[in-house]
Amino acid sequence: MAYAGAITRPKPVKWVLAHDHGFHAITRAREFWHYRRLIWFFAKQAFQVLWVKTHLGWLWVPIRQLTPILFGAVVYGSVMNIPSMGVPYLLLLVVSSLSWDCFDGPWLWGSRGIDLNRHLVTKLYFPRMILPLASMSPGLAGPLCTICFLTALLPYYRITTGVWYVQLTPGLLLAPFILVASLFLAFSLSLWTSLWLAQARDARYALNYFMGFWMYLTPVIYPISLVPAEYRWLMWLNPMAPIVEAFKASMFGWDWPPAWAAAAALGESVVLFALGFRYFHTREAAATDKL
Amino acid sequence: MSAPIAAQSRWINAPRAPGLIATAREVWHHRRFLNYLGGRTMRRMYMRTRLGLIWIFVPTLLPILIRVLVFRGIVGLMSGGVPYFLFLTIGTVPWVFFVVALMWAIRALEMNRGVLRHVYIPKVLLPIAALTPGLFYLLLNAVVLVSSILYYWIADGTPYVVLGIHSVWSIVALVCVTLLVLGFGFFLSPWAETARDARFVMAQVTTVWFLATPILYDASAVPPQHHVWLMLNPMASFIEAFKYGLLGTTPPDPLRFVIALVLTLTAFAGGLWFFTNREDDEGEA
Repeated sequence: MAYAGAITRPKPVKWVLAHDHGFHAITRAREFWHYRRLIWFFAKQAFQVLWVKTHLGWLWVPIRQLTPILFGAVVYGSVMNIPSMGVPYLLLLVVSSLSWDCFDGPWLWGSRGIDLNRHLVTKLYFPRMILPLASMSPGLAGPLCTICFLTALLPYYRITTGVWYVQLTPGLLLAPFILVASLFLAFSLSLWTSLWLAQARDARYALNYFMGFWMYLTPVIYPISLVPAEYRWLMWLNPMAPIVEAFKASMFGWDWPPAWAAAAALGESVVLFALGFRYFHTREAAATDKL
Repeated sequence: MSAPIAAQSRWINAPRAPGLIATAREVWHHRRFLNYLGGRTMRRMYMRTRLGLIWIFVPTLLPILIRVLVFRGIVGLMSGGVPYFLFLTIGTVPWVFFVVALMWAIRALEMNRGVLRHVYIPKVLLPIAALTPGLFYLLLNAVVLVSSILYYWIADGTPYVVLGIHSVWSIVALVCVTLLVLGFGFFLSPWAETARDARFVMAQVTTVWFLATPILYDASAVPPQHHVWLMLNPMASFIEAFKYGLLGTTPPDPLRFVIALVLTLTAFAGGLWFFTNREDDEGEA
């Protein structure tokens, strides 16, 4: 039966081996679409790396995600007394970490895409851009845990303080799109960094250091109102600042970041993506040859 | 006329006598390996990196500057009369020593597997030699500390740092941190030899630990209901003691310091016992 099925396959696939004519955005995008089924394969494979060969198994994921948040809430909230604008500090930290982690985790994992699949990249051809995209999947595990924690936390605060801090407003509908924006920024940046990480080992350390600093320079652990007004424009230039602030605004119904800042963040992401797309395709061949 | 080498040193191939004193004697006998193993660890640290020596400066000064910008400039933390930069640098000196030495002490067995296969070295030497990168960072941060003291001395006309008999506390604190690192190294390096995720777990643990230790903030800012965390965290007391040794302001809480000392000595002695016992068992297997 299986044999007959194979014979009568309606559309035989045609494989053409042709010379690569360099960078054509549309050809590249079409080729990427042609190989789309590989995305799931690599995403699943990358996801398993998270807990393979550990003793606790998948339990690591929530532990790794929630301990920094819980400790951070005590230290930043009650030791440093960082103001949280009328919302319990823990809730503020959970919400802003959610939008930050949708950027941080996927970026770090996406950057390792080529490096982790070295053995495959050197042996067979497929559009390499699949790797940074698919390898972002383990980075989503953390934010998923945070979402679960958040949904448990909201009724808890309803019972203890009598307030629903997150209300069903039209702004809340924007929240998923804001998370997608941070994922998009993560992907745009990993188009650049995944090639660097494949080439130099310290690129990964550098990236880890850089991420730590970037988080401090984004209003994650503090609200942006703490930044002196005359320097605030500088902070808005950081594309993650409007994203994190917009996410908080959509959840708590606060003031939205200024329109120019949102436009700047969007523009920065699009430019980073377009240039990254070009950079990746012009360099991938040379970079994979040297692996 | 010098005596022939054979007459100077005698090598006997015999099973190692059990017990701590025999181990200590053996470690002393092999002490010259420390130099070699330490150098190996340092080379390993900068191996296959593009930026090479720039890595020395990035992790020392830059984190301090960014933390000052955020926690002093934006969050507005107070540091009790001392400039926040100086306050943070003083806390950073023992902390970075602790973290870097810990990371490498845990990897000691895994990293030197190749050496162990060829030469007999008492394994206890390995975590001790792995302290080298930590000591190196201690030196670098000390340079940052001394230059910032000099800077404030010239700029503000006061050095803020008061040296005196209380400065012994700083040295005691550094010794205690070393013992704590070795204790952890003895316990965890056998585990890290087989589990490759050990150092990633430790990286996670140390970032949370950093928050729980009064480096960014003063221990006096911790509300009473969270004091139990300071009590359970030996690093909190050691950093307080180190600060007291330099600034001479508030001495560390005696009860907390004694608890930290007991925890550290237990970790060190227990670790040494576990490590040497395990080594003996391995030899028999």
